[in-house]
Formats: sequence, C-alpha cells, structure tokens
Amino acid sequence: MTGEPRTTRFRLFGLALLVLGALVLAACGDDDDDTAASDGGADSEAGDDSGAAEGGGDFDVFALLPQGNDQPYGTTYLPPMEAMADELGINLTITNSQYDADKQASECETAVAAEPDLIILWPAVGDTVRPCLEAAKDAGIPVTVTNSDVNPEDQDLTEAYSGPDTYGQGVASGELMCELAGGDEIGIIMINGLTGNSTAIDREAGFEDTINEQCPNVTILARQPGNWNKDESQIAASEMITAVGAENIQGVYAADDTMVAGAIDALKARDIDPSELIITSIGNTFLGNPLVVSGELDGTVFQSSSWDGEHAVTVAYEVLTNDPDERLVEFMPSVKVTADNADDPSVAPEW
Amino acid sequence: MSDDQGLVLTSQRTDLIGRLRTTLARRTEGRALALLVVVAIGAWITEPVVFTSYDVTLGRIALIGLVALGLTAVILMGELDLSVASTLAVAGVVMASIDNLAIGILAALVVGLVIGAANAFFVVVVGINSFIATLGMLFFLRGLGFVLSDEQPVRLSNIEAGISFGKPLIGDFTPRMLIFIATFIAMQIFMTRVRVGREFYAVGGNRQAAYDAGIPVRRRIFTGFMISGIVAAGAGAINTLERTAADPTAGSTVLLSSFAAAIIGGILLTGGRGSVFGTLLGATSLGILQVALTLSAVQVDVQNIIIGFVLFVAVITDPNSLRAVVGSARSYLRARTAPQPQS
Amino acid sequence: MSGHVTDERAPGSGRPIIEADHISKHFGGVFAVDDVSLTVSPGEIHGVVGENGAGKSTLMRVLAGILRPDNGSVLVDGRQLEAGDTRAALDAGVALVHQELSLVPEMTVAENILLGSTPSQAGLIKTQELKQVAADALDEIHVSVDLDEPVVRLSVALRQFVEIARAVARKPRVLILDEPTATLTPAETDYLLDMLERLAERGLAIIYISHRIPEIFRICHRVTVLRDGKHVDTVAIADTRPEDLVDKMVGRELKLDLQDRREAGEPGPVVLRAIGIRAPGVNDVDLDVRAGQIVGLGGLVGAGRTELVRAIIGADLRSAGQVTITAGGSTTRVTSYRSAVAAGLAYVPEERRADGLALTMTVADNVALPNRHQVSRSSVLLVRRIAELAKRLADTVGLRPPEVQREAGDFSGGNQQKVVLAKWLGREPDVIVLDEPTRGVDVGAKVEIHRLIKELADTGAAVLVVSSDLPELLDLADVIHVMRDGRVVGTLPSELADEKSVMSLASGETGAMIGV
Repeated sequence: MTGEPRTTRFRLFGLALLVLGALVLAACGDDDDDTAASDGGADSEAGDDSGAAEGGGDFDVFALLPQGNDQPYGTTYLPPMEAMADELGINLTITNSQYDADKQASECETAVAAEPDLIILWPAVGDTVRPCLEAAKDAGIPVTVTNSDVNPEDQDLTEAYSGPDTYGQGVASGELMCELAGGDEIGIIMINGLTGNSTAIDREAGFEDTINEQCPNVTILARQPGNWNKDESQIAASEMITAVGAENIQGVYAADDTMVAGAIDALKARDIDPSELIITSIGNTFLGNPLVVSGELDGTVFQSSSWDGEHAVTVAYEVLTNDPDERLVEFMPSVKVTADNADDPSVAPEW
Repeated sequence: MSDDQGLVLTSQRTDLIGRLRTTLARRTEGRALALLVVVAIGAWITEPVVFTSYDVTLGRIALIGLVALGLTAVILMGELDLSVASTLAVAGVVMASIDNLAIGILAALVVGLVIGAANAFFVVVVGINSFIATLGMLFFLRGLGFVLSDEQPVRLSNIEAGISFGKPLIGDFTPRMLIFIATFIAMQIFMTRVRVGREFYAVGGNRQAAYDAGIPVRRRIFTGFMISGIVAAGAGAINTLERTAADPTAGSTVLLSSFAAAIIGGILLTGGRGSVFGTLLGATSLGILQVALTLSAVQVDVQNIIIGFVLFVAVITDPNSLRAVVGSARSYLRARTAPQPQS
Repeated sequence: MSGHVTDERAPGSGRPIIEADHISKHFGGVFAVDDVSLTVSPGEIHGVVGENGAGKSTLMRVLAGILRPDNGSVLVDGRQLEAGDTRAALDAGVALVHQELSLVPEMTVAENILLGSTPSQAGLIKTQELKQVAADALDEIHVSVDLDEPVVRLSVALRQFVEIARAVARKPRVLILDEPTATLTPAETDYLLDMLERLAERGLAIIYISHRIPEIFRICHRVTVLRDGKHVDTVAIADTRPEDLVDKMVGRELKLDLQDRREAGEPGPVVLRAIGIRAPGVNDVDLDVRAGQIVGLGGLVGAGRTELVRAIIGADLRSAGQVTITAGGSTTRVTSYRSAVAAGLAYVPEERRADGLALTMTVADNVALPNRHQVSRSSVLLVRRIAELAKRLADTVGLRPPEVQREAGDFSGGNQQKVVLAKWLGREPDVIVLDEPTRGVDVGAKVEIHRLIKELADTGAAVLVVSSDLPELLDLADVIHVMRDGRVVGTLPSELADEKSVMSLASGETGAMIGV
C-alpha cells in the first residue's frame, strides 16, 4: 500500500516537472511557443483528427468521464480501459469533468466537434445529458454509456450500457443478509447513499425488495442517508442506534463499503462488537475487503472498476463493428464476497 | 519665469507610432493580449479544430467568461465575491423549480440581485471583509441549493425549450454566446463610459480619495456586488436551460476559472486596475487552452497544472512584480559577490 | 470669482473671506488644536508654520470640513459652515490639496481632476465637457499634461500639480495647500510658488503650510505660528525675521530634561560605520556610531531619516554605500538585514504595530522571538525558559502590568514599546537603532524608555536614535546629525545643540554647516 501512492506521486511529479520545463522553455523562446503547453502533456495519442481514421479498423473514440486519476475508482478504471482500447485499435481521448455537469456538457460539444466515431459517456449528472445526446445524434455519432446509466427516457438516444447492475447489487447484498439471518427474527438499520442519486435509489430498492420477498423475518427498523461519506454515515448510524436502542439491532446494511466502515466505527464507539451483528454492504474495496477478512463485515458485493473500464471499451467496439439493432446492455456480475472467498485473487479489491 | 522648466510632459509624441506606443503603454491588457496570441498560436498548431469548430470554443469561452465579467465589477473595487458559483447553482435550482419558464428566469435573476445586495450589506454595513462575507455566503448558498432541490437535480418542466435554447440562434451563435457578447458590450460601456462604472475604479484605486471627492462609495459597492450576483444568476439560468436540469452541485469549477480569467486578464485583485476587455481576453485564453487540452486528451490534473502555470506567468509578468523579482535577484547577487572582510 | 479686491493696499488687510473662530479639536486626551483663530483675506497668501505635531494639518482638515471641531466654527464670507461637511466646504469654495496624494492611480488626468463631479448626462460621461473643464483647470495653473494619461504614469511632481488643478477646477475662493513642496525638486518648487502668487493676484485666498522657512518668506503676506496645538502669533511677513519665526515655533524654555542630560563618557571605538549611503530619499550620507555613544538623527518629516536608517541596517536596498559593524573583535559587512542582526544589531522600527510586535501573541512569545537560541534546545522551544526570560526582561523595562502571558495588544502604547525594547535587550545588542522610540507614548513611559536607552549606552552599546521630538533628541543624544532633503546638513555635539539650532538646520533657515 505504502509503495503505491508514492510511485504515483513520483510519476505525477515527474510529469509536472516535464510540463513546467516545456513551458519555461516555451516562455523563454518568446513567441512561437506556448504550443509546448499542449505538446508537453499530449504526447499520448492526440487522435490527430477526424477524417484520418476509418482505414484498418482504427477508431477514434471520446470518453467523457466525470472522474479519472483524481478518484480511487477512476484510477483503477482507466488503465484496463486504455489497455483494451489499444488492443482493439481504438484511439481514446479521455476527459474528466470532475462531476461538473456544465463542464461535461462543454466537453461533449468539443467531442462532437472533433467528429469521433463514437462517444463513451459516463454521465456526471444523469438529468443533464439529454442535450449532449441530441447533439451527438444530430452529428451522427453513436453514444454508449458506462458505469451509470442515463434516465430511461434518454436511453433510446444511446446504443449501449455497460456497468454495474445497481439494482442487482442491492439484490445480492439483500441475499447475503437473508442467508446470514437464517430465518431468525432480526432488526436492522439501513444507511443509504446520497438522496436522489440513482445508484442510491436502485441499491436501496434492490435490497429492500429482496428482503421483503426472501426473508420477511428481517425488519428494517430505521434508515438514513450517509451520503457516500464515512463520517456522515457514522453520525447517521449513531443516531439510529440511539433512536431504536442498541439491544434491538442485530444487523446493518450500508449501500457501500465506505459507509459501512463508518457504521462499524459507530458500533465500536458504543462498545458493540460488530462481529456479533450481521453486516452487509456493496463494493469490496480496499476499505471493505479487509473488514470482511477480519470478520467485522459479514458480506459485500464486488464492484470491479477494471471490469467497468474494460467493458466500456468492448461494448463500444461491439457497437462500432456490429451495429446491433437492440440497445446493448452488459451488466457487471454482482459477485458476493464473504469470509469464505475474501482472499480469493478473483475478488481482490481494486479501489 | 520658469514656465519652460520641463514641467510639460514630454512623453507626448504626436506621430502615429508614438501615439500607438503611448496608447499601448496606457492599457492594462497588453500582457493578456500577448498571452492570448501565444495560446492561440499554440492551439492552432496542435489542435486546429479549436478554430475550425470555433462555435465550440466560443461556447466554452462564454461558459467561463460570463461569470467572470460580472466578477470584474467587484474585483475592480478591490473586493472579492467568492459566492458566484453557489449563486449560479441556487439561481438554477430556483428557476427549475418554477414551472413557468419566463417567471423562473425572472426569479433566478431576482435571486442573484438579492444575493449581491446581501453580500454588499455584510461588506459595507456590517463591515466584514469581503473574502469572509462571501465565503460565508458560498457555504450558505451551497446548503440552500441542496435544501431547495432536495439534494437532487431539478428537471426543467419544459425540456424541449431547454434543448432548443442550446441550438444556434443566429448563424452558429447559440443564445448563450449572444448573451455573453451582449453582456460584454454592456459591461464594457458601463465601465468606460458610464459615470457610476468609472467611479468603480476610484473606489478600488484609492478609496479615501473617492470618499473625499464625495463619491457615494457604499452605493457603488452595492451596485458592484449586485452586478456580480445578477450575472452569476443569469449564467445559472443559461446553464439550467441548456442542460434541461438544475444541478445543486453546479459550478464546482466555475469559481476558480472565473477568477483565473480575471487574473489572466490583468485585473489587479486589490482593485483599481484592469478592464472588462481584459477579462474577455483572459476568458478567451483560458477557453482556447481548455478546449485544446481536452482535444489533446491531456488529463484534467495536468490541465490544471498548465492553467496554474499560465496564471503564474500572467501574474509575475506584471511590471511591478518583475521589478521586484529583478530587484531582489540583483541584491542577492550583489550580496553574494561582495567581498567578505574577515568575519 | 467674487473679487472684492478694490482695496489696493497690501493683501491681507481686506475683509476676510475665511475665518477660523476659536477652533478646538482633540484626539484621545490630547488637544491637537486648542482654541485657534485665523483669518485670511482674498488675494492673501497666509503661511502656517509649526513643528511636527503642532496641529497644522488638523486645523486645515477642520477648515475643509473633513473633521468636525469640538469647539468653534468656520466662517466663509461671514456665513458659518456646516461643521464636518466636506460638500458644504467645497460648495462654499474651500478646496484642500492634501498632504498625502489623493488621486486614483489608474484613472486619467481629466477624470482625476473632476473626480466626484464628473459631468454626465443620463449616467453617460460627457467626455468633451470633462476634458474641457480639466484642460481649463490645467491652463489656469500653466501646466500641460496629456489629459488621457493615467495618473500612475506621471511623475510625483506632475501628480502634485494635477492635485492642485483638481482643487482649482472647483473654482475655489480659498485654496489650502498642506506641504505641497515636500516631494518637489527646487525647480518644481519654484514653479509652484510662482503659480501660487499668480493665483493670489487674481483674488484667491491661499493658506500655505510649509516647514521650509525660505518658502514662507518668499510668497506669504502674513504667517501664523502654531505650537502644541496653540496659536502663538500671527505676524506680517514684512515685520519679522526667519530667526524670530523659528524662536516662536520652538518656543519652549529650556526643559527640565536637560538637567539630567547625559554625561557622555569617553566614547569607545567605532562600532557602526556607514560610508556614502545612497538610497531612495537618501543622498550620500556618512555616519559613525561609537560604543557607548548615542547618536541622534534630527530633521523634519520627509527629510530621509527613516530611509537612511533602513538603508544602513539593510532592511531596504541601497543604491550605493558600505556599512560595517565591528563588535567582539570582528568586522562584518552589512549586506542584508539578516547579516546586520547576526552581527549584533537590534532595530526598533517606527511602526511598532506593523513591524515590531505581533499584537495577538503574548508578551513572553514576542520577547522569545529574537531570542530563540536562549530559550530552545535542539530547536524545541522551552516554555519555562521563555517565561523566565520574559519575566526578567519585563522587570528590566518596567512593564506594567508585569503580566508576560497577556497578549501584547492588551498593553498601552508605552508598554508595547517597552516590550519591543525588551525583545532586543535579551540579545544584549552591540548596536541598537531606534526610530521614533516614544511616539504616541505617555509621559511616564517616555521617561522610563529614555532611562533604558541611556543605560544601554552606558553598558557599551552603540545607539542610533531617530526622533522628531526635539527635547527627546536633546535629552538623549551625545551628537545630533540634522537631515534635510536626504542629506546631513549639520552635525551638533550635545553642548552646542538646542532646539533652535536644530530647527534652523532642519527647516533650511540656515544652510551652513555648524562645526563639529
């Protein structure tokens, strides 16, 4: 763990030095220069423009993402994506709007202007992508969606979706809860994601539907949003414990590993041993996986960022080469992770 | 008896080149212009699409620049308005929450005016430093945006109107660009030809002198903050229309880029120096740079490094800063080379 | 211009246009202006002189309606002015040219001249009219400047003239100038004085403040002398001599202070030596300070004393000159402030709030700042040692109340100054430079600070003191260098120095060097 961020930091630092050096040279060389600004960092694949491609299966593709190396998920999402693109002969141009919908919209305009063969879209804010989709459609550029799907009414403007089955993840976490409860009458508390966020809504619904169908013996005593944040989740959990009484709680569900870590801290702060409770979540991250190994977290659902990045490209390639009639949907398998398989290399955490 | 004692300013050369040189020397936009030329040439060489699809570039410039234009009024008075981005978000949410589009837009603009007036109230009447007052407003509005929107994007009731708003209106120009251009012209006239606007420079350049000359300084500060507020709210309304939904988290990158545009444009953060035209140049440089870097697939982190560097260049090439740098370098060297008697 | 100048006799004898009637104004407990009356007639140039702090500027600000007096009133043309109302004063025709420039740097000459009264129609500026009025005002004072030039690009002198044009553009009947020549060259001064005479000939009443006695004698008809806020005398210039004027300005009888004037012992070797110092505002100054000696720097505000001191200690850049400090058997060349401090120098700046003290830190922490080595072990500060050191030094300087754990900002001005001294005493400096050590300090604290400075010299430190307070300088210094226009114009050993001799040198009334 310690080695990894350090090398990243070194690499970033090196890159920064390189760019600065180029810029300084440029600035000294007086006039014909700041070019180096773009050159310095652009040596990857500038996708030197539209018309050129078409030839030997080479495609130009823009990927409009709301995150990149600035977030743990994006950091492990990008390399498999780029590797797969290389393998399939796709020139990728990747943008990062940092979850600013306006910036992503502007990047979308830029992408449309560059006339690529396809645009991969990971919506920064699902409700705001309609104009981008329409612009792409007007320009005859197909759009595929990755990681989080667009709203149902916008789906016919896109050719494909690949990414986690957010409802299915909730279902898988619910199934884990049911198995572990084994028919006992138990009460649990529920910590959800950011209110209104589609992933949060889907996971909540998937979990709740499963509980209701498969194990009505599990009762949700209280629910609160933890906003995908550890501290807020800890506060929410603590409040709920006070509200319903610690003795009535036999289980906890949190919509992701970060929040479940907060909930576990809240339990510990009340001198409640988390391993005595049935706790499930979603993610299997660097934070969640060790909790499963240590037994504090009983089960989680693997969301693989590498699968996500890789399939964004393969699905795009499928659309480019086969032009399917139907909208293509490829869900990430919702692999359950418990103490039994937590050490298995196939579910090694990625982010 | 000493009328010819050299008290006539001799820098007045009347030939064309002399006049041109004087005019250039008087402007504060020189460095911003030079930077723009450099950035434009660079972009032309690496990514000609920046210019062939100029409408995209213009759209980006308008996105960055609109808020910066309003902000310029405040900065020229030596104050700061950190609440512009949150104003943009809240105004968007208010607008999208109202079913009637026209009333919604009107409400958004009123919200902007009220926020501006509130900022000015804290700065002028309560006497809080504008950095702190508008920082407080930033947090307050961000929270308010979440509360009003129930923490989720608010969809416009009339999505079709929004989508057609994003389409070109005259030639390749979308309504956003036209509004941006109109705002620029209005602000430029206001700050150069209108008495109230010109007096902003006095408020920022020498506030005591402005007071002494009988300029109503407090009223000018109110006006400035309200301009900044209404322009930011207008930008929020435009964004909401174009995206067909208002996002309470909107504007996360707006605050920094609008300040960056103003600074690159040669506006002195302590007030009194700069121009609306400078801000336009700054926003144009920044817009071209961002589009070119996006097309070149430069990662956003690296983009930020480059933009930071451009900002740095813009600031240290200020003649005053350069003089300071040269001065301290010279004294350092002199100290180094001076022989040290037995110590 | 309502010129009642039918009276062809000497100006100043006509009906007064402006009257100050028993004006008093105090700040805190001190009367800045104490029951002063003054009248000026159309066509008269009326000089106002006095030492620093005599109340001249305060009186002028009252006349211009910027300050509201505690007592008394201002009458223009026999009508009483609304007190403290700048607009009313302007409308009545009273225009003040400020001592510190009040132009807006980035606005043009024309805009500055009409700042606050820009001609406009429906909000839009009438550019033609603006330029016409500005051009007329400049014409009136015979100065030619490009109207579109931003003021920031003008020389200091031209800015001063633009400032005057601004006052003139308001068509005043009374023009007040507060030390307009402080920043001008002799040629520019000459020009300005001619201009004022021309304006007066056309019936304008002018009130002219200057430290420079020769200027007063050149253009003024009458002169009023202020001292310690009080009116001393108003005389026709024809009836007085420069020496008499200086006498009246200084006025004091010999002070009690002089009784414990220091018995200067045999001064030791030269510790601080400055040769050929040039810097902005400083023109080729040589200076020596010996061990156990107190050297005073006298002169008027703007004479270049602070600039000289800062150039000597390396706090500001010098353009020429060398400074050495010889202490503990070695000689160090001062190339920067750091090197000066390392060589054993301590500097107590004029703006102690800005430069000398961290007001939100405790006295103990302030005292510890320059004494880090004494109170730390392997760069960790030892709280107990800080407290001990602070306690000891607080006793030495007589801090009241002697609570070293209170924030420095809680103490009175005098006690803050003691803290600044305590800071440096802890280092036992070889050279100590003090700029205005007792400005804004009450009398009790002043006596103690003087005692401390003398004790420092007695223990062998070389002391350099800048002071505008003449009695203080006379009390402390063994030798006084008097500065004017960036040069040392005279050097007085303590036995030859008195207020009059220093003042004459400082104001340029006597130009000759008085022997060393």
